[in-house]
Amino acid sequence: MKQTEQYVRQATRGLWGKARRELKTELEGHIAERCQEFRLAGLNAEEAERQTLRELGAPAQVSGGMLDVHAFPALGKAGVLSALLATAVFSALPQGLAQVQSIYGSFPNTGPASYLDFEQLKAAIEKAGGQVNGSASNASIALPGAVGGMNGLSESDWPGVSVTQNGKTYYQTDALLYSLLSSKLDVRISGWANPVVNADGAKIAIETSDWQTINWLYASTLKMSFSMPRDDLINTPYALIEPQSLTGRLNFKGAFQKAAVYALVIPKLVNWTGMDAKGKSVGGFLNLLNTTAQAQAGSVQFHVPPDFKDYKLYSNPSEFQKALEPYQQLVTAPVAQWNAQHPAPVLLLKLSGHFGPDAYTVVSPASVKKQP
Amino acid sequence: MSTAPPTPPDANLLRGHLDLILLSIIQGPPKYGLEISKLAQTATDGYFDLKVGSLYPALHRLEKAGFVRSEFTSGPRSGNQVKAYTLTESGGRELSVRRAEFQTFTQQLGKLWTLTGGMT
Repeated sequence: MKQTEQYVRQATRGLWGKARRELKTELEGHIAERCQEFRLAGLNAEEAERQTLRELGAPAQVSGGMLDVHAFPALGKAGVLSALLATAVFSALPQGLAQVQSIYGSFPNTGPASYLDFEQLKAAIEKAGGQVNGSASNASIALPGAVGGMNGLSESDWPGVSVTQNGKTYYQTDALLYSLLSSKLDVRISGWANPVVNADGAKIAIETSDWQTINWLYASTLKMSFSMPRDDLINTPYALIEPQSLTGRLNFKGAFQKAAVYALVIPKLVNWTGMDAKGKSVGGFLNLLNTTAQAQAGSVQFHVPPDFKDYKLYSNPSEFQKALEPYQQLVTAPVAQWNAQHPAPVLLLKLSGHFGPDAYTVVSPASVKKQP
Repeated sequence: MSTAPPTPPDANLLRGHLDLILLSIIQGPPKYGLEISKLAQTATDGYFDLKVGSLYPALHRLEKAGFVRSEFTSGPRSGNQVKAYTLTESGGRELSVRRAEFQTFTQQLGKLWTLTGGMT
């Protein structure tokens, strides 16, 4: 059944959470049923599996088609704006690029999110040879090289897609990234202060030095890389980071490259609940927090939750996931808080900024040292 | 005696009518993916061969649009869970509308062929 597992993993790649789990069960059911039919017709188990998988077609077609259906991420119902913190620090931008300001804030129902000034975004996209049609609450974005017509993301399929603050309209950063990625553009984030989103050569300069906005962009390369091999990380939801909540700091020394971007994937033990498409409650006890930082030569400093000190670095995602398994649900979790005897399994990654299979490489725990 | 299976439709033609094809098959008792693709094949002598890569995304899209609903149930042979789809009320309405549209379209197109005498 190894081939079936491989097929299902490839076919569900890029999907997230419930959509992925359900499609996995659905495909496994399809394959099991068809295999049984071939068995009854006289094939042995191996032949039956081979014949079934041959019949199914390429798994990438399933995952590709599914990504057009399941907009990522599901963010719950749109709510009233509670606190929206404008990022007020600007620094010099690369010459010749249009500038887009951003804000990072928290909403009662959608949670913390990053937004971009819609008019400036529109200007930047047009300058890059693209086009934005419609208002921020239903904008369709097209850039040169985009494949497939993308309908505008509206409030009903993407709650909180736009907000208005002080007379300005803002567009959710994830919605922009989703639009670019689902048009099959090659997307890369580069730089740190005033990072640039590069989509097949079209550059959108984000005017911010607020690490939360920059963190959002780089963390998205982990969350939204549709084809990346992060199967072992995928069944756990990502934590949304409340503004100014990561007040702790964690320093490492080691083989860090100057100006390269690194990420720590930290598991948080917290009860979460949500609703699936049928209104049924779902929940768990674990989510993953991505915190990113730009390194100096030989060192890097991460923003982490306050008092985060009991952790253990892992050298590969499968072992990391295995260590986390008991913590998926509160009833099976050995402890309700990380402590010295039960340290949080953590991954240290080097990020490429690219949305794709090469979004990250794991940094070997042996090559780094924690610094006070 | 069986006749040779018709040549499968052009991929774009199939894609353009996939929703109508699926809604047509799903009406009636609940059916899961494998059943749907087999029914499409057997009822049309192999003309409609729905690959998993187009079938499941289309089913999920129809579900999202509210035209079908689904439920996990035990598969008849393996006992594994399979996801069975049924038409919703709005799916039933959608099917009627699309069917009527398609019939009108082919009728009107037929008139053009008679007019030019190019085809029968």
